[in-house]
Amino acid sequence: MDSLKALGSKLWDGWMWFAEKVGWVNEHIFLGIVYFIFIGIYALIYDLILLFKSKPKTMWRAFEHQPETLEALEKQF
Amino acid sequence: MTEKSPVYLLGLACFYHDSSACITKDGVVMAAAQEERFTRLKHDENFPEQAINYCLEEAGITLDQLSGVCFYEKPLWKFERLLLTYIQEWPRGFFSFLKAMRAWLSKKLWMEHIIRKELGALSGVTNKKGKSVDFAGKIYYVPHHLSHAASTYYPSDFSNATVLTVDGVGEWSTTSIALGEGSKLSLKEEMVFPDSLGLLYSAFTYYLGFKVNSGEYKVMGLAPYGEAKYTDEIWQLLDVFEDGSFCLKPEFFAYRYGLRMTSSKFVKHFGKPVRKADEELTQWHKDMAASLQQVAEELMLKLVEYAHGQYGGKNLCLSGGVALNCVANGRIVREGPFEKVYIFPAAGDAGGSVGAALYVDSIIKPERKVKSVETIYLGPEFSNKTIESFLQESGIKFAKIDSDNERSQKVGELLAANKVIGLFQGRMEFGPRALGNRSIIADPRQSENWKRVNIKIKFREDFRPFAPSVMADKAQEIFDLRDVESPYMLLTAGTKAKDLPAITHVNNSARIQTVSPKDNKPYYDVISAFNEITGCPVVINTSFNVRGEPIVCDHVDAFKCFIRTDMDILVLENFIINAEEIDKEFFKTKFELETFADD
Repeated sequence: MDSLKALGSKLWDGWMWFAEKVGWVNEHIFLGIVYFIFIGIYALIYDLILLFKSKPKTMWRAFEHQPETLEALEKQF
Repeated sequence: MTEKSPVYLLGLACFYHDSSACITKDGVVMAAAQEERFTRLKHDENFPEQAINYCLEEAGITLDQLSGVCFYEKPLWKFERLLLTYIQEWPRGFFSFLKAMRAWLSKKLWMEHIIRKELGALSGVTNKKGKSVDFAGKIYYVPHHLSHAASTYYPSDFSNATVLTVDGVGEWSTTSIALGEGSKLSLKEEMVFPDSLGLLYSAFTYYLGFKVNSGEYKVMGLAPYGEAKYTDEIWQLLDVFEDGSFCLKPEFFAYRYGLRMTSSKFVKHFGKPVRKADEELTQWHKDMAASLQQVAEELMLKLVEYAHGQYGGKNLCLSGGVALNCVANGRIVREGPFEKVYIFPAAGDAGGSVGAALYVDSIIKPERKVKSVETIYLGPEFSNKTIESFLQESGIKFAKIDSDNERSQKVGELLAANKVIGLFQGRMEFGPRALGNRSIIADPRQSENWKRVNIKIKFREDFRPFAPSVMADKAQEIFDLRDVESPYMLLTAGTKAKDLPAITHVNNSARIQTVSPKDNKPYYDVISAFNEITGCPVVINTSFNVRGEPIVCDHVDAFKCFIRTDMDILVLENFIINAEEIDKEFFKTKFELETFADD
């Protein structure tokens, strides 16, 4: 857990350094590339999956991920 | 932490809107406050530094004595939802993606890091280099709707209950049903983004020209002026299933991919453009608000009926921002299948801090189920000594009163003389409603008081209704409450009395606060004194602030608010200040008065 926290901290510092160095315009270019290439590929796959999905009869769904221990509550996901 | 040492938990809700903090000791909330009250920035979303400081001070502990810090949602679940939504909406969500990602990459994705750093800075502990040391204690993340559910179930008197939470969106959930049994609370079912009653209401809030996440209550207040003519058109925006669940038709809504709530198809469907904030409110807008309100009430009733059908029980707890819709709540109490209904007064996101802490406490000590909130007056209070020093140092003329009884009597007399009074006493309320400790009160029998308080004191829209505070033991005589108490002003009911024009809405309803000595004795005594003189056990109660301003927190805020308005009297604990005896213009230049953006 501690090593994960340290990694998180390093990543944050890294991103802040990146954002500061490359500036506002380049940050947008970077996000644009991520959006149009990576998210775009996933979007195409998602649309294919949707073709085979049937229409729902209810919008209720079981809640399956309730954290019931302190360990589970410590996770951010 | 030893077996016998108390469990202190700090609850936090922040980085979206209405940030707040609370502290619990062995499952009982000792203090809670919204950050906006201290920073004077309405709906402040920032890290609740000052609210935390206040909570720790109230509990008499330091950060290292905490058993844990409890955050009101799971940040990475939320991030997952964002990413999946951008995948679904590619490529039209690009600009929204840019805006959201910059916020997430610079702040929200590093939640733990930020919380540890901010708390470290608050503790004042530094290392050898003089840098503050990060908070090293435990941080727990409670899912958003579980925080909402816990915030209403644990403070209730019920030993078991069905819990319904309805808001815009948390991580994925927009609506959830939970079951409370003793100290155990289990989320059973959920409806997820983008199908959301809260977002449907917000979409219309936006369409009618009010601010999303703050103007929803204005739409509710506007609704009685209109006729529900457009319900069919609104029902066409969604598919409703037999079990009460529903699906919003995506072509009408833009919040999934855009920087606005409604799509061009939505505008075409209703045939009128989005109203600008400064544009006149026409009868059409009022009819639209009435139609939306009716649809929202029907949907809420369907959700409640489904929850009862699935899980049964006599008791219902409600929470989430939609549970602040007191008109819908009134219908749930009157027409719903549950015998008893409890609604946590801070039902919106600010209450998430309380829910997060109470849920974690229930995991640490599963054997205990206590009534977690004894009072909703959980904010700071200020002593007579502090207030007297302020008044003397500032050269403000005042009259001093010796006892609480004398104060209540005096305030009752002033009310009967048709004075509008700023009442500042005791601990500040937690949640969006002023319940007698940070309130502006007036005589409800005078019809001109409605316009006077709205326009000359609150500087707000003249259609906005005022709520009545009524002595609980007389409430049934005046209002059609059917033996239900409404101590937190979260229910509306019909008005039986004909002579209370200033608190009776155009549809003959009122948003009621029942006041009993056990809830707030000083306030009850004020209304009682007014009743003895006039035979009227009701007063107008509106929050102590002007338009766009958070409710006043301390005596200085209260005095500043007093001098910028047309209020007659200010009561600061045992001190009475009469507007006729001070030069308001002089004090306006002496005190720097903040400007507040319209809400």
